[in-house]
Amino acid sequence: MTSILHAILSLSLLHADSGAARPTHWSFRKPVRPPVPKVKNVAWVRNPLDAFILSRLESKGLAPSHEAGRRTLLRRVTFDLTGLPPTPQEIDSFVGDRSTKAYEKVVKRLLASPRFGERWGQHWLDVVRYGETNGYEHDGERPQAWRYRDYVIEALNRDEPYDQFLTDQIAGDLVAPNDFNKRVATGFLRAGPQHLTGGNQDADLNRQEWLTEATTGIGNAALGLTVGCARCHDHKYDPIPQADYYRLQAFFSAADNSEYKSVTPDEQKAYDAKVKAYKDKLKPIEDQIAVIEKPYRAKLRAKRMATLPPEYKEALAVESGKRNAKQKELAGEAGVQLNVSWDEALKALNPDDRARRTALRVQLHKLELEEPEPIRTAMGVSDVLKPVPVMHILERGDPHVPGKVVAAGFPAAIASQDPSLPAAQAPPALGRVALAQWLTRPDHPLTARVMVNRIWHYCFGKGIVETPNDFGLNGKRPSNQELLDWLATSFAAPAADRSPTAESGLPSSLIPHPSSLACGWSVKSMLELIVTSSAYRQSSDYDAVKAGVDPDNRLLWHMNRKRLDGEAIRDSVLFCSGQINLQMGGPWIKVPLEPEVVDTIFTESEPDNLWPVDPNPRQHARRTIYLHRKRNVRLPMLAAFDQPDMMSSCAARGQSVHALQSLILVNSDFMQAQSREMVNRLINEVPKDKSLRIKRLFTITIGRIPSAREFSKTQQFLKDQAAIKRGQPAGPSAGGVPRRARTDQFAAWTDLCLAMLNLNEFIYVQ
Amino acid sequence: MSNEFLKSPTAHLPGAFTRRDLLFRAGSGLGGLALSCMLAQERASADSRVPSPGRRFPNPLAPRIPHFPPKAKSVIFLFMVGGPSHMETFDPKPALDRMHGEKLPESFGVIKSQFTDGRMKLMGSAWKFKKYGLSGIEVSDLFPHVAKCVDDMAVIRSCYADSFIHAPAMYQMVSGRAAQGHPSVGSWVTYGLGCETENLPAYCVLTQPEGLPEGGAPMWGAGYLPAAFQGTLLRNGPKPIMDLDPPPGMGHSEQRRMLDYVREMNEMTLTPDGTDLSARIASYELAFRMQQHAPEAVDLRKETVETKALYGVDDPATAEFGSRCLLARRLVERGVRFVQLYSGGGPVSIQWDAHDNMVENHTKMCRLVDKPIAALLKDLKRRGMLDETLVVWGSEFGRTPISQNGKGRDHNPSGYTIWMAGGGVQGGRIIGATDEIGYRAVEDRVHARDIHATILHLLGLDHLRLTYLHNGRNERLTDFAGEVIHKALA
Repeated sequence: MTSILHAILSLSLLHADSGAARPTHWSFRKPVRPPVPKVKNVAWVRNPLDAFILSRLESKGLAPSHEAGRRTLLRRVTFDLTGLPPTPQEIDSFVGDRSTKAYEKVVKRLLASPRFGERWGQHWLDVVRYGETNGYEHDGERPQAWRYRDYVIEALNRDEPYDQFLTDQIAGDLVAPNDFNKRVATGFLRAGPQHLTGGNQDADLNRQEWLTEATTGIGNAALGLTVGCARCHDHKYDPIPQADYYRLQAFFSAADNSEYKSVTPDEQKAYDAKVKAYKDKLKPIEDQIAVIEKPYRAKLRAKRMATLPPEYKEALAVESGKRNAKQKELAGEAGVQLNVSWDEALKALNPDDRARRTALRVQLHKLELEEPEPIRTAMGVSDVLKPVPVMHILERGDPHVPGKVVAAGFPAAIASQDPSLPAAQAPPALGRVALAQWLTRPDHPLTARVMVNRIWHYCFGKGIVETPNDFGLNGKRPSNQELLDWLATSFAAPAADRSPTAESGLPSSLIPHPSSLACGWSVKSMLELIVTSSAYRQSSDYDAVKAGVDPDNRLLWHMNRKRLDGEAIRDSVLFCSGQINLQMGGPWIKVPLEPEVVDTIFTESEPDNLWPVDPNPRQHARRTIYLHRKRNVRLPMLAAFDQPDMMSSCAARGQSVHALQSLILVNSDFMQAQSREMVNRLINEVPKDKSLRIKRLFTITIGRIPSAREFSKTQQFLKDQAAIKRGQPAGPSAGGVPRRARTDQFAAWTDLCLAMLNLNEFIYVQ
Repeated sequence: MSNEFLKSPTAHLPGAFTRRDLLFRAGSGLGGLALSCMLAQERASADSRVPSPGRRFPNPLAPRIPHFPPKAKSVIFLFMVGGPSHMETFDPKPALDRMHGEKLPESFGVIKSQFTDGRMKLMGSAWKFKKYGLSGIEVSDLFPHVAKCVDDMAVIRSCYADSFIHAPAMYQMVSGRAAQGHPSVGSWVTYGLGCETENLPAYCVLTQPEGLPEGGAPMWGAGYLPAAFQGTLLRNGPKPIMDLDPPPGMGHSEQRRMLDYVREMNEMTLTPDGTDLSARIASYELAFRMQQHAPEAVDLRKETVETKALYGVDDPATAEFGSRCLLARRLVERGVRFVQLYSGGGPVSIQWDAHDNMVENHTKMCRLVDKPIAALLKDLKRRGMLDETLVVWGSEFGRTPISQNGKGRDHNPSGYTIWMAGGGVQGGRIIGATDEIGYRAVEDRVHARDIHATILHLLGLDHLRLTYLHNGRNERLTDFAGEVIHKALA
């Protein structure tokens, strides 16, 4: 029972902070567009954000690092924008392009790639803790949740302005009631876990849990504040902040979960017919299974009947319609006592019957893969509660202890600067649309800052505010607030509204794109601005002297090295092996899981077919974002490489390094299979010349050719490995592996490919 | 978050082991140039102002010094999945037996639970209780073997939880909160203390072969702690850890050669600030060590016939759980920090969830675990390990004093029993009490958070100081509360 709602650390703090005597916390004041600072090394400044970085560096007597080499830079920007490595052709083309805008061209190409939405969509899904199951014991599937994932990817690919993106997710059903995709967008409010179980239900508690999740989601994703995570009673704060929390929650008081269907009667009829045909196919098999079990179940039941106390037997002996109250109760209890569970029945079967039954179950599960596609449904919310329930402040977050009534209203500490804002009112007067409008005001103190900081974080590996989900008092102070505010005001400024030369004080030749200084909430424009800056293009090389001055690189004297996350590792392995299937969108894919992992799916029912793998193996090579995101069971490779658990918002991936990662990267079936595929690819692309083939392998995996020393070590390794293999008895027959795999050479090359995928240079981006 | 993580594993613990200590302890058998390379860096950085990011990227599981001298070094948590009845095991209720078949007196209010409407009749225990040991603690006939260990046990009869539904109550028992997604106690412990061995996972989880507890794998998840602190499922048999062995077709010598090649290549691109890179290089050596050592750790054949008989490995009824208890001892013996052992999981008939028939369910379930659990306590004791090993026996909740379906009992989070033994626990002690029918804990009430505070305390960790910054909040295992159960301490 999560009844005990965590109240409001940050909002409490907001309040504490908003007292007249104390200055308002920096992030609750509207960002003021700062002047672009003057710098000495004007030549380094490619766009104004560089001036903000450089002036800080110069004030400490530091120079920025030199620009990264072309191969390094291409690898960096390709991973950052698409989550995949550059191809050898892309490397050649960029290295050979001597035009002045060669890099800018690459950036434009990457931003236009459909891979962009897949990469940046994953970031947003992290923030909204998107999962495709409910979590908790049943961890039930949300069959059409994936439509929200596709919505996010598409919105990012078409560069939906962030204010619209946010508005649709908070109130899409209200701003465009007949737009199916905007209904899907409100899935944001249901992206988190939801506890659904059987038995006695506490409707108030269930509703409160959803409201908490929705409010927490808005707090984390849009405001970058922990609105739902501390307990009020244990903090000695005034009760008003608690009211602020419930005022925020009250924007949702008319809303509830809704499954929106847009279906014509004909479509419905066609669907019903398909379902009937499907069930008719299953029925005969189910019947055969029942026939096999019947005698065993009867025997087990009889055995139980024999041990039943006499009063139960007597009650059962009376015809069911003629039982008195006492007998009815006893008969009901007896029914439970006599029940034979599936595992008892299964245990009782003789081997022949069991084998027959198993074969039938296999047949059944095969047919189940043909289940008709369900009717297109948007899993979202809508304002269905009428009359709108009154919102109370809840004592200790407990819905059974309602306190004072509150109406919807904006958190005082942020909104009090704005006398123009409406006073608190209950929905529909003040509902989700009003909330979205408030959040997406260009001068909102948090929305733009929080988003540009997220973008910065994913580009530099560290935010300007190092706690991207916490702009409150517990969070880190920005390392460079002027820069953050300049970016935030650029981001939220209506496009083409500002004249760049007027304010920057820089020669106009140094300003790349006027439009990028007023992004109109365009994420791509903001990204273009950032990744074309000199700051971003710096090398990640180490410098002992600079590190002595700024060990944490807060001033950005060089680029931070970034470890790939689990998704990027899996996708890159598939990409390098040539196996990746870049098909976009659609229902989630279940890829083969190790039996040990399937065993960790909880069920009280018969555990066969818990994880029906997609029958088409090409689907197993889809990008990771399209794989089924089950909250309680994750792919070991992803879990080991810090994939978040989808239970709370994740603003920054962990970067742990531990032994189980190495076991997975060396020994797992996936890595082995992909290494073999990579050899096939290499032999195909470079059939004869082994030296060229080695160079090709390096280029594919780490984006460069080997040094002379690396080259000779690699040749030696191939030789040694083949020799070891020759000295060994042949391994088990390699079913499904191409015939040439049986040579020692192929095996040695497989080991080499696997080794490349284990290099630091493959796992880290410089 | 990554930056908090990088700093916080040591930040919360002053005077942690240095990397150097660890490397010396690890011995010279590593053969890993990477490790000596890291060592050299550590030495170098100690004398200069050059930042030592090495301390930001240690092996996250390297042993660390606790807040204060510990009583216990490791924990074995025996979790009975589904909620055993306290009234049938460790909490005798003669008044309830006398009131068998009667209506619940109104003074108790209405019993709230997941399936019953609270109006069913009271049901007495089908088992008799006897006094055992010098302490004379009463235990029912369901646990004849464990009963003989009562002088080593602190029996807490006044536990309570916040939910009458399995999964939330389970999450609470393992992570302090009823909400899913918080780090489990084993994760917190390994985050705080690291591990004495690098040859095995620090936090091992042994589940019922038939299936998982309802809470599923998140019960040993690291939540928002770094992935290194998640529990690792361990199995008996030749493949104890997933992906432990080289795949078919790759021998150990080829793999060694391959790992050497990877290391040499990685070392060529190592930069002075590359301690995250060095840590990755070292992680391959650690993985290789695990490959070498884990199979031995789970190989029960090395145990004597007498020991195996003690755990009931020779008896079909107790062989399965007995093997896992024996495995738990072997793991702790080899330095594993936290072992979570589940009895029950999967089909209802293999859980302690006796809704339908108390007698049938508990007769079966107790038979599976009684002898093995007693053997674990005795074996640890005779090897001199019980002093340093905290054993906890418990569940997510107990059962209702009223019946369900005439012969079963529903979930009761308002009062139930957990016991602890070894590792600084005062044996032969009863703590707290439920009311006369066993419904509510009324004396010295103990929440999961108090159990957790006590576990950490015995390990030398202050539950108030073991924190991790997540989404703006300094999270801790005990959330906003938790008190050490001083009455349980020796």
